[in-house]
Amino acid sequence: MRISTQQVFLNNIDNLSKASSDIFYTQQQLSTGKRVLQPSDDPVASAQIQKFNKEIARTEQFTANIDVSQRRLELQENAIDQVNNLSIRLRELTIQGKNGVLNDGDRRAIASEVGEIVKSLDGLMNTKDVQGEYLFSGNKGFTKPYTVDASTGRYVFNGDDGQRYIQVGPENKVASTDSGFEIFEKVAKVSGYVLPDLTQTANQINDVEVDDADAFDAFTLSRGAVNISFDSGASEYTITDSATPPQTVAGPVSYTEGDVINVAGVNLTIGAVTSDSVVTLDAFSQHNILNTALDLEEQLRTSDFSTTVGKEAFNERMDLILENLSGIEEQNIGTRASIGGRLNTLEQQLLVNEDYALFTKEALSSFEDLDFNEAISRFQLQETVLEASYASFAKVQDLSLFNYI
Amino acid sequence: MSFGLLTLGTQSLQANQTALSVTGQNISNVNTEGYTRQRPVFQSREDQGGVLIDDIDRVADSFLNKQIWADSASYSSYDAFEDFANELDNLMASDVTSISTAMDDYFGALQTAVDDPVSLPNRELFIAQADALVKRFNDLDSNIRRQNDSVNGRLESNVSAINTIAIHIAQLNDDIRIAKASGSVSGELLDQRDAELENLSEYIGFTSIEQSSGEVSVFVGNGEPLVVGLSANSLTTIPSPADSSQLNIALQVGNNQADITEQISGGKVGGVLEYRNTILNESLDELGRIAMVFVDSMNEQHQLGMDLNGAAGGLVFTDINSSSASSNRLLATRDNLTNATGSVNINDVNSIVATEYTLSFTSANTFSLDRGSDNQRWTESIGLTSVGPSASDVQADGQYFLDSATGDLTLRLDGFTLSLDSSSTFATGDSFLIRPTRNAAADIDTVINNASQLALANPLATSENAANIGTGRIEVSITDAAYAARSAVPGELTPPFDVSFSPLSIAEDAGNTGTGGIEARVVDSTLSGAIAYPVHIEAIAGGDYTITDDDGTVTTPVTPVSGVLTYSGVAFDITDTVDVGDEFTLSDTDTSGVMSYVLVDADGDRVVGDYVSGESIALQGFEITITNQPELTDRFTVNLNTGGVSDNRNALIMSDLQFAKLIEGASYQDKYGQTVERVGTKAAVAQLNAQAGKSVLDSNIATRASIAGVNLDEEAAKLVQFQQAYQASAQIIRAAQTIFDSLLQSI
Repeated sequence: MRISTQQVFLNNIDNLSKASSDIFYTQQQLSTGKRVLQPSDDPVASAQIQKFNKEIARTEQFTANIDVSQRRLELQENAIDQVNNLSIRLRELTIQGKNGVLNDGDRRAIASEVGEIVKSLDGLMNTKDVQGEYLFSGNKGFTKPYTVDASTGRYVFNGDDGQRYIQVGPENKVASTDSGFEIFEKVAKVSGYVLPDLTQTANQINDVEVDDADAFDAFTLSRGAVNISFDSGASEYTITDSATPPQTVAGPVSYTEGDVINVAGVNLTIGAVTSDSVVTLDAFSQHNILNTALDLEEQLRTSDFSTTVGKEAFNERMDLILENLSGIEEQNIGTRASIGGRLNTLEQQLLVNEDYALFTKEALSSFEDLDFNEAISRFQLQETVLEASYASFAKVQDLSLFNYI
Repeated sequence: MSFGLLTLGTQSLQANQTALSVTGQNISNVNTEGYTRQRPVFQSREDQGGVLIDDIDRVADSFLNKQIWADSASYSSYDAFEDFANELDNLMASDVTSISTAMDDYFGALQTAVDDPVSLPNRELFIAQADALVKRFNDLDSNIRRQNDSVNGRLESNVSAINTIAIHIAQLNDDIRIAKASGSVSGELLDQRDAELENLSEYIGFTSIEQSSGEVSVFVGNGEPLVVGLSANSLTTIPSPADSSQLNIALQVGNNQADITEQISGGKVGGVLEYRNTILNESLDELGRIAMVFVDSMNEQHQLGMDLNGAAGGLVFTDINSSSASSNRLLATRDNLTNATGSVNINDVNSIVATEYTLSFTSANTFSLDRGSDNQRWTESIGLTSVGPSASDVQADGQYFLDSATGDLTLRLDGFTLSLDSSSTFATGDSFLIRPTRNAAADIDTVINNASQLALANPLATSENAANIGTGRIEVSITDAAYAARSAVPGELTPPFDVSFSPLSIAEDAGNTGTGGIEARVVDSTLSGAIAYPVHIEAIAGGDYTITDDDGTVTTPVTPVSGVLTYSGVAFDITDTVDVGDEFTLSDTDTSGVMSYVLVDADGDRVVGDYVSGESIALQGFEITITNQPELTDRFTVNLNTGGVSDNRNALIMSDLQFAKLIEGASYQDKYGQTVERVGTKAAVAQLNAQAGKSVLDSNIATRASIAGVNLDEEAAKLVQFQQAYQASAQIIRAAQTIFDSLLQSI
């Protein structure tokens, strides 16, 4: 084939520039350690690389979430542990207080220790985290979960049963909080330990006595609070339940002061009635640790030990309190088991996430990273080619017939 | 005789001298671009008349030249395409400009807020990341648009280069024509013209025809004349009729301008136009769709939530149907005869197609609508249904309302509604461009700026009764941001409400003719517990009922008191009209195995139904789901989530959206990845094509060079050859002189 002189030079220049651009590309790969320098080098691989990077970012976020959840659960566990210790102490004190040989002074001493325990419990159950969020108020993080209701003197729970779930794995959400409702409020009922909750505007009812605690509990559970409405002439009353619409339980019944109304297993003695007034009677059938401790303290301070009836009533109440405390402990153990289980899950998930991140990084590396052995030998080959081109070009350009004529 | 010898020697001398100068010309032009080597053609004269140079042959192959021009046009086209595609691909995939990495950060920040919803710093971080994501969308969009500017710039500079070349060709045509008329055309002129044509092929694809007069005419596109003989027409850039941000190319012939953008292919101009049509606009549309779906789904979910102050969630990002966004989606063509304005509203982001539509009126009351992505065409009678009598009757995709008298068109398709309002009737030829998603990535902006306004909580909360003994769990979720207004209507269940369970369930007889129903509730469980279930209730004349229990005890007639029928501690609420003969069956859990849920709010509004675990109960704008097995005495309450600052339920749902398959079965980031991959693939294909085109071009150039190029060795040999011949010719003259001298001496 005939070759033009220009062609000889142009071809050589072309080849040289191709060889040097190849070697430059390999050099870039070597210096970055990346196989794919720009997406169009390998569109499929670069789509995968993006996907893997996303997966890794996500897994790292899960790991951060696990850290947060662990911290939170451990904080809770700590508080609940201490509550449990206090409830064990309460049980000891109850058994001690029941002892018949104690005198009033001994009981008062025990009562004041119970009082101190109530203060500690109040603090523990109203624990805040560093941000000022209450641990045990459910979703109402800025609402103090346990406060004393001025009218009943009992602690009321102001939070809700909201539980916060946090994503710790692709399909795995773990509760990172527990509401006081779950931990402290859902105490098993103790048969017979039902206290009346009477709301009245004046002193319409003089005395309340729970005659049949179970009947009282059953009534309020199925039909709600008992409402006693006195008519305008203050001569008749009607008793209704709290269904929608309210159903009449009894009445209208005429009465005189001092009459006893027997409804839902409760005896109510009528006092000074104002006309057109409504009295509501509900039941406290579940007692959280705070209210149990308050009750214990009150019984220790105010029970009547002068009569046999009084002593018996005291002993009965002490037994109920003991039983209630057992329920509280069980509830506490259940919650701690659940927290422990979740901490375990988190630990497992952490391992799973770490493994997953590792696999993903390996897969990412196989798409993205350079095979150095291959690249280095390729580089050397390209270097050889380039050097050979230089050398041969120098020879070829010397060749000319003009040198010989 | 010696005189003849002298003449012969002189001619030979001249011929070889010419041959030597041709060789010299070849040697001097060894590096001249486009130079075709020349060869002297010797011809012997008859009767020992010597030699003459008949012609100086130009060793060119015109077929090969045409092939090279076509190859060069196609290579330049791929090369220009690849340049832009690579730039875009790197832009979209690079960590610092990628939407996907910004979304990772955004959802990461959202997760952090999920972990700790009361933390203001976490919320601030989320807003900062939302801002960063918005910025990323805007930046990428404007970078792609900057490519559009550089496309315009390229078109302008290429067009002016083409015009210069066209004038040169016309000039050379003239020179060649004159030269040809005077008998000889120099190879250099032809070389120059071929070089100009080769130059032209880098800019634009063309066809050329050589006339017998030696002139070459050049046509671009589908035979549009750029150079005809001695005259050159010029190309100009004009703004595209509907979208003034894009330049089109027109051929100017006299005073007429004809838009030939669609016809151009090949060369840098062809490649750039191809890039604009297939990648640039599509990428903007696709990016816009991702932005639009993202914004809309985020806003929608956020508005279902409740913020730190207890207020309903607002917009996180600008509403996709803001008035400026809606009107920017519609572009009217410049030379429309009617002056119509309008807007395009998005109804359903999930059915939006990332493309542009062209609406053209073929008369005042007929039109056609073309979808760019697949060339699907609708007309007023094909694929679309006319509804009326007013625009508000257009309720579903595929419906339109056209009032040709006043020039109003409302059309709903592919998830958007087009509203066009013309000042008069539409005119034939009026056309509009509809771009549902083109600007969405530029329009995206954050609205929320106060961290406490982030609605991470669910506005409704549930609580269970502490005394519950069953395993039942209740959940509430909001399905409509207007749930509060919808549920507050009298007769509808309004939160807060109680959830309880009843052992009773009522089944309606299939043959009932009345519209009414009966709901049963226990008012006295001691009495209702003693009933022998199931109990049959039949409506009899006079509005009364006959009740028969399972033991066969018949109670009749039972008369309802103000719509309530009472029987053995069970109250039946009668709703609507019950016809005589309608029958109902009352069962309890023990006999039917089914219990009912009873939802009652403070106004006494009730919702009752059979309890099925895990089945959601849809209410006005929200729904509740009870799972597992609650006991009959169990109670739940659905409350307003007052003070629910620690609640993260809405944020969890928002965070789940990261993986929701919202865009054609892909998540936001998957769709983005697909778009990057698509651009990357096109860039890679263009790269391959450019490489292939280059090697074809190179091989043809090499072939041409091997035919037409100068080889110095060859010329050196020729130089020696002609030199020797010249010396020999000189010897002939010398011989003639010697002969003549001998003659003279002999005399």
